[in-house]
Amino acid sequence: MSSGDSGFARALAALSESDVDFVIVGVGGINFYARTPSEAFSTLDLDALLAPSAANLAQALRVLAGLGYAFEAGGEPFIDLDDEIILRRVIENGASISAIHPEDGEIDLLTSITAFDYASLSTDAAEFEVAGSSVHVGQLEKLLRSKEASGRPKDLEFLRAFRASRSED
Amino acid sequence: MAKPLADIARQISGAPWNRPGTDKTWVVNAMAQALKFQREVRQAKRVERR
Repeated sequence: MSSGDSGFARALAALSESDVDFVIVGVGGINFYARTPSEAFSTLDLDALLAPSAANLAQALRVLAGLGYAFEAGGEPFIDLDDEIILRRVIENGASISAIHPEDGEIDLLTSITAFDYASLSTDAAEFEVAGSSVHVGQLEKLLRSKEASGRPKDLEFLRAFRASRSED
Repeated sequence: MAKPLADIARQISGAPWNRPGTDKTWVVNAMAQALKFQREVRQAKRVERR
């Protein structure tokens, strides 16, 4: 890790080194496949899909709390970092927890995404290096298919922009 | 005719800059930098409005 690494880089490296099982998804994951910074798409946060277990979620929360992140779920502060019953409920509901750092930005800890479960995304995830640690990123085709399947206007708009920018490659 | 998304995805995934183990720290650093810039622009706009 170098002193010039961003908070996102430090957080991903810390999660990986602490044996949290996760796959990066969403626009942030799609950006991993960009050739240059100019090809990256703007996004407000980084999405990490966690392996669905209370222990894994608890470990992710502990690691990020240690880096100064606070947590929100459904717009409310989330403080039950060690409450196994509540963490299990988060997973059963496929809910997400936002990890928010005052300077470093936001990492969304997801327990479900549209069209794929954790196992099917992690099985062939791409392995890249971030700040000296190995991180897994969902296959580009699957990340795009998830956006397509969600049907949300902003995702469909993103896909139009993606197709337009990459068709010329 | 537009290329199917799956074809575009396969082509990009197989590109030399996406080989397994490639250092992608720059990607997350670039995202963090873009967010910081957006935050500063929002802050400047708030100050301007006062």
